[in-house]
Amino acid sequence: MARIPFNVSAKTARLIGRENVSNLEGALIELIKNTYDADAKKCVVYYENSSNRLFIIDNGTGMSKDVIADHWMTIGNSAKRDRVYTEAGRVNTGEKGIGRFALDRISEKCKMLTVSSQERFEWLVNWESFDSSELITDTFAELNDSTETIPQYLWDIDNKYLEKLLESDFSGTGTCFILENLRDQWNDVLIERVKNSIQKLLPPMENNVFDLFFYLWDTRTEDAKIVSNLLNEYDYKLHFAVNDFGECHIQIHRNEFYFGTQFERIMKKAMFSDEDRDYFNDKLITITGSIHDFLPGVEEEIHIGAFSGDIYFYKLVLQSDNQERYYYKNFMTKRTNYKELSGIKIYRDDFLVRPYGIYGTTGYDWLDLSTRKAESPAAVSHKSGSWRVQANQICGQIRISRLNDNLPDKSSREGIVETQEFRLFRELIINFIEKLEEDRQYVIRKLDDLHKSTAQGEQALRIAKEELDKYKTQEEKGRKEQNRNQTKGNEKETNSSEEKYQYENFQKAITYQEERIQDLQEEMGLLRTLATTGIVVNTYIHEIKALTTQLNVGVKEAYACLEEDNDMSAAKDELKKLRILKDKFNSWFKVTLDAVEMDKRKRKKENVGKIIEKSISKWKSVQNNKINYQFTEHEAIDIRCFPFDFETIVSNLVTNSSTIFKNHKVDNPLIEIEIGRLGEKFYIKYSDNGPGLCDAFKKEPQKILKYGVTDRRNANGEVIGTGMGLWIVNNIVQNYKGQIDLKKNIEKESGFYIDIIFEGREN
Amino acid sequence: MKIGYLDDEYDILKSAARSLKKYDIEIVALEDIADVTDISLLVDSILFNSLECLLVDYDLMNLESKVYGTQIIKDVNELLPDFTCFLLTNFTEQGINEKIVQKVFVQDKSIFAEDDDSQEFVNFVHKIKNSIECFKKRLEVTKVEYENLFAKKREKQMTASEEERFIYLYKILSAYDLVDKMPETLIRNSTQDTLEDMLEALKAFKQQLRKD
Repeated sequence: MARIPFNVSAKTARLIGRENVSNLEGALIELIKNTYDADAKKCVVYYENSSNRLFIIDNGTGMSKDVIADHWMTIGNSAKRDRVYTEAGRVNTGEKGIGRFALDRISEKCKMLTVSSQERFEWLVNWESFDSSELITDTFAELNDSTETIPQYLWDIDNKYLEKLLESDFSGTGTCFILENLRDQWNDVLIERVKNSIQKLLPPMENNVFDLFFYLWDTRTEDAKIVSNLLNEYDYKLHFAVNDFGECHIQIHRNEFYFGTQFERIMKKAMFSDEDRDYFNDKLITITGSIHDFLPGVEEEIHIGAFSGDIYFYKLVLQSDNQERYYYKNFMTKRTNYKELSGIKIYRDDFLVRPYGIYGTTGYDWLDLSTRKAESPAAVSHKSGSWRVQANQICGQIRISRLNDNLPDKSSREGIVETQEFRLFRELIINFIEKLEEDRQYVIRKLDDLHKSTAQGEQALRIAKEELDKYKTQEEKGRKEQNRNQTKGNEKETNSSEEKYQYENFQKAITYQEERIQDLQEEMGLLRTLATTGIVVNTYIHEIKALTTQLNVGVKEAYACLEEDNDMSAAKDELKKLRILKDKFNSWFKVTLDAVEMDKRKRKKENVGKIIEKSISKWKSVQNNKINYQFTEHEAIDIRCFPFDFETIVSNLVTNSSTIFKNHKVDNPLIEIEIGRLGEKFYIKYSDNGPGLCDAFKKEPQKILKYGVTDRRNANGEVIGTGMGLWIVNNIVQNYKGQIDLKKNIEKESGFYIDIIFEGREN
Repeated sequence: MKIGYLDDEYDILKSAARSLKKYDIEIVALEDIADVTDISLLVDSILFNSLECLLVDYDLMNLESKVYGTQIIKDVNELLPDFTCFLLTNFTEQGINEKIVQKVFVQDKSIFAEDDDSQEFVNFVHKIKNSIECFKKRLEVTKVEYENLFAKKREKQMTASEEERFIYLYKILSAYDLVDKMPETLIRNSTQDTLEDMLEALKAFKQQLRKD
C-alpha cells in the first residue's frame, strides 16, 4: 500500500501566516515579543530613511542551527508551546509558531544574523518565492555560516548613536533582522503610529527588565528609549490581586484630598473616623475577601485564575468651586493629556493584549463603564445615588500570565476568548472599581454635608428666616402697642409701611421656594411609586401575562362550546371559571395602579399600621395566599405622611421576598412585619424566612441599599435584577429622617431582616 | 400525530386540544408524572404514549418538584436528542434569554388564544408538524443503524457498548412501531452471552494459571 504525504501550497502557508498577523503594528509586536522570549535585555527597532530598511535587533540568546531548522523553519511549530519559561525565567509570550510570518507582513526580503553562544548564521529569505513555488516543500531559505558580530554585520547603518549602542551592548549573542523592500510607505504618519503602538506595548513600570528603543536615522539614544507613560499623579489608586485560590486582595490609595492646616478641624467637623485620618495620610485602605464576596449571586465554583492590576482615577475637569468645597489637591499634570493614557489595558506577561483599553479602538471601554455611568448618572455628592466613574477618567493595567489558562488568548491574538470566565473576570474588575467609587463617594458626601452646614447660602437662608421671625414678633408687638396708643401708632405705621412691604415680599419668596421644594418632593415620591409599579410588573410579568392568556383562551373555549358543540352548559362552565380571574386581575391592579391614585399622593395624617395591613391583604390575594404574613402592631403610628410611601416600602420588600421564595423553593414561606414606637421615633421591622442575603452581601448588608446593586441572576448567571427596590425604600426612609438597620443579616444564618427607624409629625 | 403537554396547571388544555385536533394533532397531558425531574420517568411516558413532540411550560413551580421547563427540555434532549420540545411561556423573552432552548422552539402560550384559522396559529401548527416529520425521518435513519447492530447481534459479534446502543435504539424504535417488538430476555441475552463468555475465559485463565 502506497503512503502519500500531505503537502500544502506555499501560497496557502503564507496566507495562514498573514491572516494571523493582520497589520504592521501587530507584526512588529510579534517580532518584539520574540526578542523578549529570547531573554534579550535590549531590543532596537530602527528605520533608515535613506535605504528604506527596517532593522530589528536584540541581544538575546540567538538561535542554534537546530532551532532554525526544527522550529523557525517549521510553520506552526513553536519551541515555546511546551516550554513555558525562558532560560532566564521569563514566561514565554508567544506559542503559536507563526510569528515569523510577521516578517513577510513587513517586507518582501529579509536577512537575519543570529549569534548564539556556539554558532553564527546568516539566514536569507525572499517571501515572493512563496508565490512562485507550488508547494511549501519547494520553497527555500538560505542558511550560511558567518563569523561576524552584530555590529560588524550592521556596519553600514547611518545612525552613529545606534552604532555606539551596538558596540557596547550587542557584541555578544543576539539576533538582528534587516528588512528590505518594505511593504508600507514609511512616512511621518506611519512612523508616529508605529512609535505610539510600541509605546503602549510595555506596561508602565519603573523597573522594566526589558528596554525597547525606536531609532530613526538621527535619533539620539536617550530619545530613542521607549518610556511607557506612567501616571505619577492621580486622585485614587486601586491595586488588586487575585490568586489561584480565588482570594482577592485590594488596596486603595486616597490621594485626592488636601486639607493643609485645616486637617484637624475638618476631621472633627465632618466626623471622619480615626482610620480615615490615616487614610488621608497615605495609609492604604485594605479589603480582602473571596472571589464570591465580589460576585454577588454567583453560587457555582469560579476558576478565573491569578491576575493583578493597578487602576488609577483622575478627574479630567477641576471646577474651582468644587476644589474649595471638597479640598481637592491641585496637580501639576495637564488633565487634557490624559486622553491617550486612559483606558484599562491588559498585559499578558508584560506584553499588551490588544485592543483592550486602547484609545480610539472598539476595545477601549471593554468594561462598558460608559453604559454603567449612563444608567447611574448621580453626582459624587448625591445623597443616595451611586456615583460611577467615566471610562475616560480611569486608566491602568491588568496583568495576566500565560500560565493562567482560564483566560486563553484568541488564536488571532486580538483579545481574550469571551468565555464565561472572561465575563466573570470583567464583572470582578468592575466590582473592584466599585470599591474605589464607594470610598470616594463616602468622603465627598461627608465633605458636602460639612460644606452645606457652613456654606454661605445655607447660612444666609438661616439668617433670613431668623430676621423674618424677628420681624413677625416685632410686628405683633407693634400691633398691640398700636391698639394702646392710636396716635403714636399712626406715625409708626407710616414709617414701617415700606419695611412691611419688603418683609412681606421676602416672606412670599421663602414660602414660594418652600412650596416648590415640597412639590418636587411629592413629584419624586410619585416617581418612586411609579418605579415600584415598574419593578413589580417586571418581576411578576410571567404571572400577569399568564392571567391574560388564561382569560383569552377561556373566552375562546366558551365561544367554541357554543359555536361548535352547541353546548350551553359547557360554555357556562368555562365562563364561570373566568369569573375567578376577575378577582386576580383586581388584586394586580390594586398592588400596581392603585398605588398612585390621587388620594394617596396627598400628605395627610394616616395610620401606618392600616396602610401596611391593607397592602398585605392585596399582596396575599395576588399571591393566592401562598405566602403567610404575620403583622404585629405593638403601638399605633399616626403620622402625617404620603400613604403611597408606605405602600411602596411594603411592595418592594414583599417583591424581593417573593422572588427569593420562588427561586429557592422555600417551603412554608413567611413574612413578618412589626411596627411600634421607639422613644420619639417609630419603627417597622420586616423579616422573611428565606435563605437570607447571598455571601457577597452578608458581610456588608448596607450595600444592598445602593442604586443598581442586585444579586438576581437568570439561569445563565447573567444579572437581571434592577437593583432599584431597596434603593427606593432607602430614599423614602430618608425623607422621613429615618435610617435602615440591616445588622441582623450579619448575625442570623438565614432569613432577611430590615429594621426601619423613622420620624413623623403626629399633629 | 400525538404530542405531549407538560404543565403545572392544565387550564388551557381543553381549548388547546380542541384547536390542535382540527389539524389532526392529538394532545396528551402528562398529568400523571409525579416527579418531572426524574427524566427517565418522563422519557418512558413519552415512549409509552408514542409521543412525537412535547410542549413544556416554562414555569412549573406549582409542581411538587419545582423546576423550570428549560431544564426539563435540556434533560429530555440529552436522552432523546432528536425529539422536539417546544417551550411554552407567557413571557417569551425570559425563555429566549436563557439560551437553553433555541428561539424557534420558544412559543408564546397566548398562541392558543388566537383563532384556529389565524395565520399565527397555522404557522405554529406547521412548526409542530415539521418537527414531527423531521423526528420521524431521523428515526428512519436510526433504523438503518439498528438493523446493522441487529445483524451483528445475530452473529454474536456485538461489543458491550454496541449492545447498550442497540437496546437504546430498540427502545425508541419499538415505541414508534418501527421495529418488531421482542421479548425483554431476547434483547438482553447477548449481554448474558457476553457475561458467560467472560466467565468461561476467566475459568480457562485460572486453569492455565494453576497448570503453570
